[in-house]
Amino acid sequence: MNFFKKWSSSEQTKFHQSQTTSEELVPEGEKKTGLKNHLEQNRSLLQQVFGDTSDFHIEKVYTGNREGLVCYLESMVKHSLISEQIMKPLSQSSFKQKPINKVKDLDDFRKSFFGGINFHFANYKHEAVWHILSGCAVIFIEGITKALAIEINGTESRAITEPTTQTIVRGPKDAFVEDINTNISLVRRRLKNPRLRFETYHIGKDTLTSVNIGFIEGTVNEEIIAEVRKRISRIDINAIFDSGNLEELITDKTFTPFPTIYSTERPDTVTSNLIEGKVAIFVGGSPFILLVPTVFTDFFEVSEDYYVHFFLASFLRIIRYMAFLIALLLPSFYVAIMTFHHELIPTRLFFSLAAQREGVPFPTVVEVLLMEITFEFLREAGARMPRAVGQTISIVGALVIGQAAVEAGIVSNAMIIIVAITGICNYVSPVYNFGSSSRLLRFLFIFFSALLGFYGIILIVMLLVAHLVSLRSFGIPYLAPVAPFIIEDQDDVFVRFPIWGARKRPSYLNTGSPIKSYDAKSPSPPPKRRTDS
Amino acid sequence: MVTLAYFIILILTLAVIGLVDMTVSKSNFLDSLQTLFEGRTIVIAASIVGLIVSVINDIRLSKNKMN
Amino acid sequence: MKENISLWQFFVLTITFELGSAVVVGIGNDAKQDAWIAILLAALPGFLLIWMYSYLLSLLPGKNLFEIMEVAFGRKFAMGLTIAYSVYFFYLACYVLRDFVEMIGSAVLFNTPSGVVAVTLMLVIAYILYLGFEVVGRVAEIFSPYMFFFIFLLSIFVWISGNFEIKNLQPVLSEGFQPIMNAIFPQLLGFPIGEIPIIFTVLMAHTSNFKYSRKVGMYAFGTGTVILVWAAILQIAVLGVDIKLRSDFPLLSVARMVSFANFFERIDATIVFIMMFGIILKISVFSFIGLKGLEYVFRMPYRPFVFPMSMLIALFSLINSESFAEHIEKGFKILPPYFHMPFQIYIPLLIFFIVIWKKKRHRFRKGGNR
Repeated sequence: MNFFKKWSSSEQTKFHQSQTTSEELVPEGEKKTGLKNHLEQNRSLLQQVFGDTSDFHIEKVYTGNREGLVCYLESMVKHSLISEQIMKPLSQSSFKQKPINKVKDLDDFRKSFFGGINFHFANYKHEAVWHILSGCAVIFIEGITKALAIEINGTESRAITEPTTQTIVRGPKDAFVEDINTNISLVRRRLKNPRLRFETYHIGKDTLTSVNIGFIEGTVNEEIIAEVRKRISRIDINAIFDSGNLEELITDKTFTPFPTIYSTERPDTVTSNLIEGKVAIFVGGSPFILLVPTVFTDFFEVSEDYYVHFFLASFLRIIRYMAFLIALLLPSFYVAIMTFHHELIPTRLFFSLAAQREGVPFPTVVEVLLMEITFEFLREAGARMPRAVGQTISIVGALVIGQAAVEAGIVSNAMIIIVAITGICNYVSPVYNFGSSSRLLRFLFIFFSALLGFYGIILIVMLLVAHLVSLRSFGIPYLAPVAPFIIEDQDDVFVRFPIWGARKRPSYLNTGSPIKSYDAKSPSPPPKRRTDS
Repeated sequence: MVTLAYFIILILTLAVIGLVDMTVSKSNFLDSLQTLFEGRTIVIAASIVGLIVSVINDIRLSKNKMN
Repeated sequence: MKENISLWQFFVLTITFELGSAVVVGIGNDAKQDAWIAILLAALPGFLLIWMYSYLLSLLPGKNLFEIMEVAFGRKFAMGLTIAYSVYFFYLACYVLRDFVEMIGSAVLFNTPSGVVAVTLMLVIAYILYLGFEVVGRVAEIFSPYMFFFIFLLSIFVWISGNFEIKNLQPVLSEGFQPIMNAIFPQLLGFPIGEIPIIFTVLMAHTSNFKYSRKVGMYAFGTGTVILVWAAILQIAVLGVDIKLRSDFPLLSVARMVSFANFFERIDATIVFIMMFGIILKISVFSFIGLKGLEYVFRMPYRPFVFPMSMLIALFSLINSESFAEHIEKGFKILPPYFHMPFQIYIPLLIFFIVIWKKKRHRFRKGGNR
């Protein structure tokens, strides 16, 4: 398959216009309703839309030399700003009797009294409604069919705290929050690059959630960004609450347990990936930012790898890959060896394992499945229950299920060890989605190893590899750069080269500027020169 | 088309297998074939499933052509 | 839709293919302890054939074997011949599958019915082929390093265990070259040497860069042959000629002899699983080529054929012979002269000469109007 060719952006059709997405608000089949001349008509228009809701306020004020209406949603605006930025200038304007007689005076009016504040103009009912919903105060003036919307939104949001999922020891500890503007600023303040662009969409008929895509122009491949725009514009759903919903809607349509989109809570991960040439997708109301396109090896990288010494980082990378394999295969290996292939492990080890299974009434596979499913129950309960009851579960888990079950002769000791190791190895992958895929596949492996031993395991491994090899994430093969093997990208897959050694962006992304730094030299001091005479 | 291919390959290969077996076991053609088929229920069942799938594929293909 | 594999993938695929079943099964047995010489010498006609067939393909660029047959013989006859070739390739696939089923049944899964092993393997292969030929290439790319590494490791283990006796290779050429020639024609040329040139006739048309595929193919063929020679030496040196001749899977027997550090016992089961990759690739390639033949005859993409044909291959692999001894006898005594020689050598050579003659005729005609 051919990878992307570079496009020049002048040829490319931009999917994103600065359209007024408030057009979503126009009910199907109706035409846009213009704003009326008289205040009472406008008031009844708005009251039709907002009904009796208690947080919608309409007040009569004096504006300039006429009367006016101010409308806002109390739950969306900051109260202090209403008096300071709306009422004060309005009263000033009425004091000065600023003449507002024609539509074009409105802009003059705004410049004189509301200078420096974000504003919009509204010509139609749905535009006015959209601005009110976004937290603006909309000002109507008697006799003018245009309205002025002043941004005064100030909704409360969570403070920036440590991330809950991808914690690291060395490195920045801020995490994204639910408010999309705060998230964008967390990225913007790290990337003081004028070529960083954001484009806004509003997705979801009922929720009209803001979705922003961020990318560095010139670095990101044009075809990828075009594909992202196309997929987002194509979404036709009623509600989006979290980036997980969006992820499902824009992912490559494949029936696969492996995620093809990376999600992260950390701003430094997002910024470093933006620099590599990926696209970040922000969803309003979600602290998890999506990164596309993603490959398999991305799920084994943590931003901490780049802040600690590269020996340690390479070592930990290899540990992560090993842990993934162990989490996937260890229980099935145990079942295969105990059921079919007794000769594959040293005799003494086999004897001790078999001796432990003396009193156990079940065949190995039943024992394994029993323990694994119990562990899944424990995990799910631990994630869902309220904090107050937390202690109970650790006691129940450790004592009852672990120790007592062994002593009762229901499972063997070795089984507990295996389940524990598998459980721990599951969470070594930094991204939660990815750990869950190995959780599910484990059961498939156990089933086939019970049927056909190692042969069954290898069959499923080949099936899995064939499946992974055929996956694509936004056009990029999922297993790049392992297969197809790209030698120049190996500096960041299984081991991490020192930062002065990793000079190029990943070539499978076909970025606009493949070389990150031209003259990166090792920091060691130059060798002493002998002055020969 | 797929079913046609299925039967062509099936018959021709069976002929080949029978011929080769005739040479080795020095019995006549039909006897060789019969002995070879004994006791191979799993693969016979699998090939019948293959036949069903080839018929299904043919139906799907002709539906696509008609559309 | 042209499915292509990169040159590196072509390289590893070819080596893995050549090793596939041949490295485990004993080959060149007619030459007894000189089997390794026989394999080495058999490579020479192999190189010649590869050169000739790739020249043939370069004359009609982009076409694979079946399309070239059309040029040589015309559509109707080519259709019939292609069907014959498809049957041949599916037969080869089922032969390799039977090898594998017996290997698994004798070394690992003693109680599992062979049908289960055959059908499950063909299901996986059907899935891989359904995903496309590029997937075959990439899977080869990922797994072949492990195969080579394990063969290398096995050699080291054997050496550490102290079982390697060079004198088992002697006396060299005790009966002269006659046994070697007997081993080469027709057996070694049929399997595994001759398989490579004939699959190149289709595979080379699917590489991303045809110009270099001949060189890459030759290197791959050479490397594979060297590994085969080394495997033969290992088998003879460790087991001795007599056991090697009588053993069904000599390489497994070699692996069984490895025992050191009180830890590495009975690693033959591990060898089986490593060989599994090679065999899966070999069956996939044969099936792919057979499917390409069907694609040519029926003029439609091969995807709908994948599953039914895979099940048929599973069927054939088990009904082909009742016992493994019968299977070996058919494969080494009957197949080479009556099937391998015609399909791998005689017919392609005929096509080769016909196409060259036709091309010359064209040039004559063109040059004649002066």
